[in-house]
Amino acid sequence: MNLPLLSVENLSVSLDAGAASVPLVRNVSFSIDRGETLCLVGESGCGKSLTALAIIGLLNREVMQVSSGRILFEGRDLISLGAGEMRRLRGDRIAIVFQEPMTSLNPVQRIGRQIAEVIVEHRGVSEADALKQVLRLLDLVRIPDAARRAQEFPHQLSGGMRQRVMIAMALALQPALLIADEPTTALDVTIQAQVLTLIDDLRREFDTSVLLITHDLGVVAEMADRVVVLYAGSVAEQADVDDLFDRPVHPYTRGLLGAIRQLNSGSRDRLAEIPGNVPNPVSLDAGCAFRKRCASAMPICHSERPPLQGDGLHRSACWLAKVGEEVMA
Amino acid sequence: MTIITTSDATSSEDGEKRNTSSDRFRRIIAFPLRQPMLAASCGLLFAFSVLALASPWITGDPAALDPLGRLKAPSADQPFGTDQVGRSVLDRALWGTRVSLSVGISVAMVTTMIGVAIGVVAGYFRAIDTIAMRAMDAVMAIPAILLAIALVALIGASPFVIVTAIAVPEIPRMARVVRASVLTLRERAYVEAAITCGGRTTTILRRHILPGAAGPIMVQTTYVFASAMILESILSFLGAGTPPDVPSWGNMMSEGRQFLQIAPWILGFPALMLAATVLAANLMGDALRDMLDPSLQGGELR
Repeated sequence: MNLPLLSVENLSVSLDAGAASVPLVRNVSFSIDRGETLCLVGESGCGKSLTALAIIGLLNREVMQVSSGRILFEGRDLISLGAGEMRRLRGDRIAIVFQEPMTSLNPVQRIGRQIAEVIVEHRGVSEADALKQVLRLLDLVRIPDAARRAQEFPHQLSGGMRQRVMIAMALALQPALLIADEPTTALDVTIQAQVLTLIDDLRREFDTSVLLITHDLGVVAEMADRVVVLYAGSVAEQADVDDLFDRPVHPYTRGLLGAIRQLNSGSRDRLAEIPGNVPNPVSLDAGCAFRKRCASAMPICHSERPPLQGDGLHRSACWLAKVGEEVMA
Repeated sequence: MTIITTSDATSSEDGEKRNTSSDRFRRIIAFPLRQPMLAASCGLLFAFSVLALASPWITGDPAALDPLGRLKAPSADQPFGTDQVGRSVLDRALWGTRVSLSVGISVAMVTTMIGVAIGVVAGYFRAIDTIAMRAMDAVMAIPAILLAIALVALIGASPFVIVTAIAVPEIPRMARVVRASVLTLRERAYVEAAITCGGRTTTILRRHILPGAAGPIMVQTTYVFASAMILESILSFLGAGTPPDVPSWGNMMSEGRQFLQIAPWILGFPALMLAATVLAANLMGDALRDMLDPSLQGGELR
């Protein structure tokens, strides 16, 4: 049987607030196969980035911890790995690109040396040898005139170029998994498309799996093979990208899709929105986390949290789906 | 596509290289004009260092007595006058430069090395922070001069003890400055990025944290250098520092104090030289801080 590259099983992350422990990510499960792109979608504060940080083992240990679950990467449980082993994985097998290309590069170091640092740290080669590989990497991420750019400082590069440099750094050792945490949020729209295309091309070229974290459904439609929609720290719905866009089940997913402007619709109406805000994780009770913003909330939504259900490919956590099944039956 | 930059470091082509080297030369010429304070203070300290190094050859024996020429006022023959046993104040003051500068430089180096190490460790590793900084507070609570006198009285006045006695109370100040910088640098996105790339802790400290703290460290080092020279003079003045047979500004002032009313030059010249050196060091620190601290919008040199 073919094991997925990464499988996150029932991951919960909690915040230690004094004596109380507040769950921020609850029982999140998903898996990524080799060469696949999985998008993690949701509003701010729904636990997207926390999930990514948990995977690479960089949660702030003093206030946050993985309270349950497993993260299996190439057959090893990342949560039980020691700090040294985890460090050797980071940058080598798992790489991450953050959303702030403007501040993610050390302003006092030439970019060539910064990229070379990853290679030197993991492969123990000399810096001169690493710098030769850097030129190839800069070509790979389509930075023109690589030899000259490698000698420049980050302030001499535009935002899009810096993000390319970050991608070059992340892909320096051809990791099996690339985590991209809103990689295009800080960039101009035209540059966004270029950077996304670049990530997608490199994924195809190296058979890298991509975990793309975003709140932009346009990006999802463009990039994803499969989508996981998070709401208030739990999975609301997960499905193949086409299935999700064609047949959204969860009212939250429908709301997100409804909030996109259709260029060809000709409508001049106000954009649809989801009323209200993400609930405070401290105040979550036994009911469905979305019920207060949900137009089709039912009595059961107030008393019981809906389980994640459905077939293997399309699952959602909503009582509506359950009701639908019963009506059909 | 070319981006025009002011940095020297952008090109590797021959034509541009020639261009940048003449550019560099122009910058050196323009340096005193753009940073007059820094240039003047550096120049003064450099002059004192040259005097200190050359004093064995340019001065006579500072211990040579001349019982007949006691307490002579400054003249063409003895520009700084003579002291109570007829020794040349000029020769002794120049020899004193050696003591002051060597103590100042040694203390600055010791303090910087130990203080930076403690500050970086305390700032970067949260577990050690509280313990290390409370220990530093404890050291800071002891008045510097009392600690120095106690150490000298306990172990005896050797150069090593004097440097240690002056460095110990300065270390906490350096550690605090460094820790403060490291605390902010640690949270920078590029440090986080380096961690996510699997960088070793030592590499991250060496390549991403220390260079960022270099400015405050340099500034603090110049202040330590200045205050070490003052402390050395105080200790010598109190008789707990440099032994009396070695001329230093502190023990010259101590001896001259008794003759202040009839021969003020014995005390005055070493005091003036101490003041000038300390002032130069402090001005250099100020100019460096203005230049290196972007929040003050001081200099154009980055």
